[in-house]
Amino acid sequence: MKTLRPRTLALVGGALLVLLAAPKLLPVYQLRLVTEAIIFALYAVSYNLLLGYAGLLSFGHAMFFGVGAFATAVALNHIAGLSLLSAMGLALLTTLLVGLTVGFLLLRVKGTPFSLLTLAFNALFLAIGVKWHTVTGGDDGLSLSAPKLHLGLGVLDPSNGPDIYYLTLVILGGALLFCWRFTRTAMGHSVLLLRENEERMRFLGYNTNVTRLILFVFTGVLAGLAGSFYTLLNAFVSLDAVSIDMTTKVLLMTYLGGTAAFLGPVLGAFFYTYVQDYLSNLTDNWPLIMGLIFIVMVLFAPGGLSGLGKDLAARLKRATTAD
Amino acid sequence: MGILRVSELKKDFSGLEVLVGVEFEVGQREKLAIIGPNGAGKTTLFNIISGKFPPTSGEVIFKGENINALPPHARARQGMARSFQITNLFQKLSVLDNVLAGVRSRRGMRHGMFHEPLRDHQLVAECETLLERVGLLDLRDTPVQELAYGQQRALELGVTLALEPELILLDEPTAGMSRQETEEATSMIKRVTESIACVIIEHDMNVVFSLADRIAVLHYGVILACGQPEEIRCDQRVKDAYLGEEES
Amino acid sequence: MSDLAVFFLHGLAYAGLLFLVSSGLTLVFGMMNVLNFAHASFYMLGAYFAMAIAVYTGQFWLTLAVAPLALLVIGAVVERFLLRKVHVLGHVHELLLTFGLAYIIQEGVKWIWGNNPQAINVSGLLASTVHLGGIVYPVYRLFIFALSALLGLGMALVIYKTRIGIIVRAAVNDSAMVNALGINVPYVFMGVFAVGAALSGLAGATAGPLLGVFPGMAGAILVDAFVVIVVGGMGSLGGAVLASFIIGQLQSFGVLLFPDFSLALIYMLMALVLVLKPEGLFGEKS
Repeated sequence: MKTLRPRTLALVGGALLVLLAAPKLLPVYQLRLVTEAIIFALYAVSYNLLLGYAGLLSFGHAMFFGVGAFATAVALNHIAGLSLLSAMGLALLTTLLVGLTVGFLLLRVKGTPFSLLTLAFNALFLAIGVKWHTVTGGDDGLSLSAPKLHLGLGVLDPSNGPDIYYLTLVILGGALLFCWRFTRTAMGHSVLLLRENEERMRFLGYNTNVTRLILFVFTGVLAGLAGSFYTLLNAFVSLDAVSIDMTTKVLLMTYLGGTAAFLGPVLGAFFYTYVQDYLSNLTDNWPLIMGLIFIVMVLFAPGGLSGLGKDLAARLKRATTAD
Repeated sequence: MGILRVSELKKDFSGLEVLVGVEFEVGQREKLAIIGPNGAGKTTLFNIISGKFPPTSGEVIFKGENINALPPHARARQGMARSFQITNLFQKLSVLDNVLAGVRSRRGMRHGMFHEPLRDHQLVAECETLLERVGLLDLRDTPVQELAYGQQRALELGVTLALEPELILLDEPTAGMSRQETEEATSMIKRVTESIACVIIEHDMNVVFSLADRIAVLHYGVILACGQPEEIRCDQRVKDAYLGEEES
Repeated sequence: MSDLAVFFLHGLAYAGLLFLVSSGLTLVFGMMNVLNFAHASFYMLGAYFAMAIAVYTGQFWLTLAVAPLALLVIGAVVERFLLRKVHVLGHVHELLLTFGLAYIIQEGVKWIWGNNPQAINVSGLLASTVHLGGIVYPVYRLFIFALSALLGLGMALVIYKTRIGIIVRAAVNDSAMVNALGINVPYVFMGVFAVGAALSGLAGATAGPLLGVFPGMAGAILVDAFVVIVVGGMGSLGGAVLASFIIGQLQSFGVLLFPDFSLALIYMLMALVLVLKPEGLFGEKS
């Protein structure tokens, strides 16, 4: 096994220190932006396990994000005395069930039909959100006041910026680490086999339908967790969370960051969040600019930002060795 | 009793009869070669035995049980492995990862979310032993797409062996190789399949005669003749079929 | 009784629109193995172009000629300069490109024309009604159905009776083979892609007066068109005809019988097809 070099260790330690100290360093608005970027980082990493690792192009990831987001709000609003963690647990359970049901139907198709159907199912969930007014609030959305989280050491209040930041950092940071480890597990290896050659996999004794279903449900639950935090951060959830736009968002983040590296989507999530923040102050048509960036990337830089970074590093290396 | 028996196997693709009642049996540890001209239905036969698609009628009996209804992955788990005529590997993954895919499957470590295969020294050692047997240990971290053709063919065999199958279906293991590569490959196949039953599709008669215990001649969907290599060599019908083919 | 007839006719009109959109989608998919997510955006562009022309000239008939022509050019450009360029990167990138295009068109339309729904007015005969055995029915819906039926027949004639049609059908089945015959397959691809875009644009232009013109109209018909090609079988023109008819009627009677669940009916049909016949009614098993 590779041991961490001192420089890497210093880098990771430094980054952790900055992340821990962020609430002391950043103004309220900036802290909120970082929190949101971390939420989207998990959303995008879960998406990239499908797109980059398994080669499955889904246009329906927002159905999980949205179900997680709505389930959290609905549970907290309707079940009196429910604790924060139980509400999240219920939300994850709901996304799990949704993943199993939709996944079961989608098992039968691959390639383009898979992509098409994920979009269709996303549209179905959006329609349910619109029509099921009594539960989802329809176009008005749902407000909520999240209960405080009582820990042995003290109390965390989700409506307080630094508190929700730390909660997000710990739980979603943990989830991101779990994803990173996932890529090295037996299941993680099998996901790569799925991308490379599903037919050969079957002749080696893998029931690839099971592989795909597990992956679909797993990434769905992670997206649901991200959605749950999105609700908590905003103390509000609207149909935006389950819309096609939310699917487009995760696709853009993941692709802009780069699908070939684990941290690509994390980079993409931060890039997108900050660029959006900057552009939306200048123009209401920022999505158009985002879309243009995306198309240019698809045409000229299919490796995304992390791919561009790698190219640049390789070029620098060549230039220095040539000297 | 044999390990594999195929009886009355028929297959037609929208009216085109590719197999018309194929029958044969493979004994424990026996090496059966199937020869025949292109279009005789050899690869179709493999696809049916390995479960890629079902026969129109007839039975595939593996270890005494009818496996017609089993999907490919279930057949692989019962001890049947196949290689492919066109190299069919995990191109962007390393040589080790390719073999690991087979070893993990055999050990039932397909979907574990808590076990890290590359940290399991025993597992890695097992893969390395396997790579040594097919002569690829030095290349264990090389991506498959960077391997030479002959090396890819060797890996194809290594991945198949990783399942520790009781029966191997080899589809033209030496196709596209030079004479020297073919000789090396043949002796390697002989070495690594010593205790395993094999069905081999092959065009190169040198390879066939050096590997096979028995030869079956498939001609337009039927087994024309089946017997010891010497019998087949002298069989007039086989000569006719082959000569006729070469003249046309 | 007469109510049922009205809803049946409504269903026919919508089926006509659906067919115009989904036929190009399914043919392009059958040939190039690319599902064009921007196809419904061509429909929306057709509607917006028609609206702009109608506003400037007041000539509705002109819109029916100009909008498809504009989309013909746009379709050809998209295929030639964008789609063909990412083809080497593989399948996922082709889908991503068309999805990105759909997104840009969506946002571009909002930028130019705003978020509010707009209307196209028709006048004269098209704005009138007719008496059909006891019911009074708007001519415009009949016009939509007649127009799409006429185009559908025209397409069938071209595809089954002409040399170009033979090449297109062969390219759907096996493009490598057609290429080997010395036919310029990329040229055929571009042609079909462009004609598909033009048909979609025409559908948009005719839908405008009926359904209104708004930025969400692409998304609304895209999902229905997807259901059409899944149910009919991807790549099958006959399947598109039958499935358009079924979805059109389901949509229409769904609104009548279960106003809150009309969409659910369509999804139930799709789920049923997926479970029982994943390749679609007229599709071929891969």
